[in-house]
Order: sequence, then structure tokens, then C-alpha cells
Amino acid sequence: MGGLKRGLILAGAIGILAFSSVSRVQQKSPTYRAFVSNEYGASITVIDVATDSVIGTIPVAGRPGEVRPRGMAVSPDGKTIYVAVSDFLPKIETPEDKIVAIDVASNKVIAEYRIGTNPERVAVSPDGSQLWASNENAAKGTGFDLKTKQILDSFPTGVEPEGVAVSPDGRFVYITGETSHTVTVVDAKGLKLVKHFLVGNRPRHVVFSPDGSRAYISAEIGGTVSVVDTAQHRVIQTIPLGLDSRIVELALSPDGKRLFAAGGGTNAIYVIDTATNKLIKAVKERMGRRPWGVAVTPDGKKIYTADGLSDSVSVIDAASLSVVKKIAAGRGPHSVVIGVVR
Amino acid sequence: MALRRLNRRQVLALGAASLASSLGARAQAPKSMRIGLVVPTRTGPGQVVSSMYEAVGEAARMGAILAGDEIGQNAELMGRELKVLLASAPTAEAATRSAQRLIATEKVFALVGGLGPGQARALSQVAEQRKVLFFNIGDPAPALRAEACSRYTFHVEASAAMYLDALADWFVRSSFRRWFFVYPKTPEGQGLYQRMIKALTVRHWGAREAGKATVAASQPDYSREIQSIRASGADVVMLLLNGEDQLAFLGQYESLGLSVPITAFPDPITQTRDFYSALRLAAPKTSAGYRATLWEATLDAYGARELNARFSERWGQVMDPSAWAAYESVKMLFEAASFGQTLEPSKLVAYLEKPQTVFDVHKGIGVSFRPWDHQLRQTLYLVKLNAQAQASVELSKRRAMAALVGELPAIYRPGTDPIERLDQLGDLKGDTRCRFK
Repeated sequence: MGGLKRGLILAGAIGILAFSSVSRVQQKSPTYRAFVSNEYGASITVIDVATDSVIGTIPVAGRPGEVRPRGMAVSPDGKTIYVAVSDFLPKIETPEDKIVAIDVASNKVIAEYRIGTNPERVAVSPDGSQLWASNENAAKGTGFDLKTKQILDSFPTGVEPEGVAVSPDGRFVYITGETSHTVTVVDAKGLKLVKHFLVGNRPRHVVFSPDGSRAYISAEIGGTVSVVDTAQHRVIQTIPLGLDSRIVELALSPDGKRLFAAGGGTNAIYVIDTATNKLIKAVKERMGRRPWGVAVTPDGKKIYTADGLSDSVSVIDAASLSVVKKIAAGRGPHSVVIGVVR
Repeated sequence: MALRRLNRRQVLALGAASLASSLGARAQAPKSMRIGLVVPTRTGPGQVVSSMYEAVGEAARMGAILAGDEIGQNAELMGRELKVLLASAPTAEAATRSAQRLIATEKVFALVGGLGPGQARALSQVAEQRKVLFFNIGDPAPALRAEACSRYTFHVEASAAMYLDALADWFVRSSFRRWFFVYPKTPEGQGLYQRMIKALTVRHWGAREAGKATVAASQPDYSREIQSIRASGADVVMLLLNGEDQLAFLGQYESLGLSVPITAFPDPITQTRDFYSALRLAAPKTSAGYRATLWEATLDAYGARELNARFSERWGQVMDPSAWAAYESVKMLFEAASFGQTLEPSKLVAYLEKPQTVFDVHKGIGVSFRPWDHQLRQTLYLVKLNAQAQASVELSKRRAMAALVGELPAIYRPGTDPIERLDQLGDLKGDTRCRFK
């Protein structure tokens, strides 16, 4: 090959590199923000994931100790955070019982929706058209149409419903019943009750695998994760994490290969290989106290936990599975989710 | 191949996993479950109870009905039926008759009760004869967990030993080291005193007895004992008396102007808002102290806030401990039958005795029954009576009569399993005198 030809090839390669870097600049890679609900501070702490620094605090109400933000969900495009808000009077429906929508880019509250009494957690359908809330003291799960702003329907659940998730195909909603150890399955498209089935003791949270074939349900008192075959809505395996683990929230890595369980009783994040359903590691060193919330960034590189007793967020490096930073949050962090600014 | 030795935590974890996996497609849980509650309750059209035991029995009735509604609704969702049948029994003899009738005619698989003198022992005997389960919700007596223990009886009410350990733990940690004891001149009173001494000497180095006095039941005048307390230099006084005698003693104690803090044995009737109201009237200053309880209406963690709120909404009352004990008994019996997939008594006993059988009773930690005496391991609560509280029928004022101070033992201590943590209270296997037939 002659020198001229080599030079052209090199120039071409440089040109491609230059073009692609311009393209990246023009498209601007997304930035992530972690949103942490502070149950006793009545606020949402916003953390810039790139720098792991707090960039804002969004008051949910001006009355800490009276209004409690708890479970959260993210819209499929990552641009909107939904927060389940209620007060400390669970049997009385008040104006504080609502779902608050926050715009991730501006950190502003952009809408409020009433989806039944005492919502503890909320989920969004994969197409972003529906919200589903667990109405803790009404023993109901309620669907809401975001286009018409109307309630779709309510369904009876086990006692004290909490965890709620919509399957990736948008067909089924799973709602856990804490006191009755049940999961209620709702057909989200046909708006019909499908079935109830038993899982571990005091189920708190549920997530679906990315392909929708499995659901994982945490049991706080049982110290287990139930693995559910979603084709049959049936527990097919139970992963024991110890009675003292008291696990609450679950999160999956974007590829679904790793499941992270927040162990409130042991100040640990349990990392499970979903191919074998075996524990890989319990991340304990430098963890905050009583982690209840856990979320993975969309690029899968970091895990964030909401540490309720130390008013902090622990940041875990997904590659090394070690805590790399602790960030001060508000009072009583309950849950954490990751929003996207594009 | 050599078997790998498993540690306790791994054994428990495996047990929990096998328990949970048994919920899958295997055997079916019973379709119909019937539980009988036998307690003294108000009878007739009047609204006024005629004894303290009727008051705690009424609370238990309300707790059992709420559980019947809630857990029954849950059973219905699962295609099953749960019924709670109620019987009023003012005496131990009446409790025996009611229990026999519920077993014979209503086919209950379990009894819940034990409030009022002799009722727990009577129901335990019926359960033993008829081979049904009995959950004791109101009698902390050591004998029921020792020489009078029964394979079919399980104790949701805390044992006297648990209450005494909890109080010793709290007060000694708070630097109350010199104790004065007042107890009845009965074998039971002597037993409580000896167990309290054990709590102080075995577990709490540095605490000691400053003095003691024995009294007769319903003694009219306690001035001599109160003078002994004054002379003893005690930091704290422990009354190991029944509810009525506690009221009489505290009234006289306050009128004689002593300021040494007093706590007392938390017999079930002394854990109610009604009793706290009576205390406020008898001894407005002295009553504003610390007491141990099985449950507290102001507990607001672990789903307790929601349970307390549902109870108050249903009944317009605070959830007293006997109401909680009845509610959780129905819940645990339903779960034992559902998860154990049987109503057969011997299989249910075996299921309940397994260390990996844990229940959620709104206390934030998995609780289980000790296999050696069938006592439920659980946290207890320390409350402080409000010095400013007014006796009232108003719900908010009744709730404000006491405030939660702490849980005993504290459960948020990472690194130990729940059984080890909860076994900090009460008699352990090596102490037991229970020998099941």
C-alpha cells in the first residue's frame, strides 16, 4: 500500500472519528438525576448522578411530619417522576392523598393526580398512559388514565397493599398485600381481576424482568425474594436472604442479570444473579442505615439506595459492588428512582 | 460426600425458603377455617362494663371481629372461608362450657382467650382434652408455661418473665440501680419477686435490692410498707401487685408525699386506657411514670399506624393490647392453617414449633413461638403516662394518655438474627420447667 493511500485511509478514519464526536455533541448524551423521597421531611432530594452532589430539594408540602412522600416511579422516557403522597392519617381521605408529577429537567411539580386514598406506591405503564397506585388502607389497587385524567377502576387487594408494578408488555399489574402475604394480579388492558396468590411473609415490593417472563417480590418478614413465573402467575422459586435481612425495595440491572434487594434489617444491599437466583454479594461496608429504597442508573453503572435511618443515600459502584459515596438527603429517605435529562 | 455444616442463619434461611416455596402448587390449604374467641364481655343492653376483665374482653372481641373482617376478606379472595365465633364467658367455668360448645357444635379448630382469673388454664385444659389449638391472649402466669404447659397451648400474651426482663433492662440502663419490691404473700407473688431478682442479678450487673415488703391481697393500709420504702434509699419501686392493689397502693403512696419513681407489673388489665384513667384519678402525679406493654396505640412504624387507625375507625376506640393480641391470634391461626395447609392439630403444633415459622404481627420483626414452652418471642413496649392527660371518652384524649418511649429489645441492630434478638427477654430453654405430654 502506498503512502498516499495509507494517508487517505488515516484521514478518513480521523474524519469518521471527528464526525462521530460531533454527532455525540449534537445529540448530547443523557444525564441522570436521582430523586429521593424523604418521608419525614416531606420533600424530594435531587442528586446529579455525574457528580453525586445534591442539586436541589423539592418540597412536596410545607408540613414535614404531616405529609409523607413514599413510593416513586419514572415515566418510560425518564422525563417525569411520579411520587405517591399521603398524610399520616391513613383512614381519612384528604387532599394530601395524591400522586405528584415532577419534571426531571426543571425539578418542578407539573401536575397532581388523585388516585384514591392513602397511596403508598405508584407504577407507570410501559407506554406511559396509565398510573397504578396501591391504596394502603383501602385494600385496593387503582388505575388512572393519564390522557383523560380519569380513574380507570379500582380492584380489591390483600390487606395493606404496597408494592405495585406493570409488566413490560403493559398487560398485567401486580400489587402486593403486606399483611395478607398476597399478590393481586390485574389485567391492565381488560381492567379485570385475574387472581390472587400467596408469596413470602409481608411482601413489600415487586419488579418485572425486562423480558417480562419473571417477577421478583420481596418479603420483609420472611427475608425472601419470590421468583414468579408471570405466564402462570405462580411462585416457582424462593431466594432466602435470612430472617434478619428485612428486605424492602428491589431493582434490576438494565439487562436484568442482577437483582438488587435493599436489606433494611442488616444495612445491606443483596446482589442476586438472576440466572442462578443465587446471592453474589451482600454490600455492607460503608452502607447507610436501614436502606429501604434502591435504584439502578439506566446505564447500569451505579446503584443508589435510600437510607431511612441515616438520612442518606449510598452510592454503589456496579462493577466493584462497593459503596463509593454517601450523600446527605432529607429526613427519612424512603425510595429512590433515576430520572433522565435528554 | 461429607455434608457441609450449616450455621444457624443458613438453616433459618433455608427453612424460610422451603416454607415460601411450599406456597406454590403443592397441597391446598383448608377451604373453611373456624376460630372461637372465649372472653368475658359485656352482656345485655347496657354500655357499661361491670368489671375490668369485661373491659379487656370487650377490646379482645373488637380485635377478633376486625381480624375476622380483614383476614376473612383475604380468605375470600383466595377462595377460602374464615369465621370467628364469639362466646362470652365471665368465669373460668363458663369459659370451659363455651369452649366445649364451640368445639362440638361449631367445629372450631382453635380457641382464643384467657382473659380473667383461671380462664387461660381452663381453656388450655379443654384444648388438651379435645385436641384443638388454644392461643392464650391474657395470662402471663409462669405456671402456664411450666408445670401446667400444654402441647396445644400457645402464648401470644407475653410471659411474666418477659415483662420483668424488659422492665429491668430499661430501668437499669436508665441508672435506676436500687430496687424496692412490693409483692403479695402468695406463692405467685413470691415467684414474681424471685424472677425479678434473677432479672437483676443475672443480666444486670450493678443493680441490687434495696428492700422488699410483702402484702396481703386487697390490703387496706400500706403506710408501713411506704415508710419502709422511704427509709430504704431506693431509686425505684416495683409493684408486683394486681391492678386493683396497684391503684390502692399508688393512691396512698402519693398522699404520703414520696417521690421515688414507681413502676408495676403489667398485668393485662393494667395496660388499658381505662386503667390509665383510673391511675390518673388515684395518683395524678405518681402515675405519670413508665410502664411496659404488649402493644401501644401510638406505635406508628411497621404497619402499626395503619392497624391502629383501622381499629380506631372501626370501633372509635384505641387499640388496647388485648385487642391487638386477639387480632394477631386470628391472623396467625389463619396463616398457620393456610401455609401449613392443614387443620390437623398435631400437624399445626409441629408447624408452629418450627423455628422457621415466622409471623408478621405489626411489630417490625418476624416473631415465632419458642418450641420449649410455646411462648411467642416478640418485642414489648415502654410507655410513659402523660401527666397532663385528662380522663375522657374522646378518642384523641384517650390516645394521648400515654406515649411510646421505646421498644424492648430494640430490633434495629444489624448482625443478629431475630430469634437471638428476641430471646433477650424471658426464660430460655435451659430455664424451662415445661414438659409436654
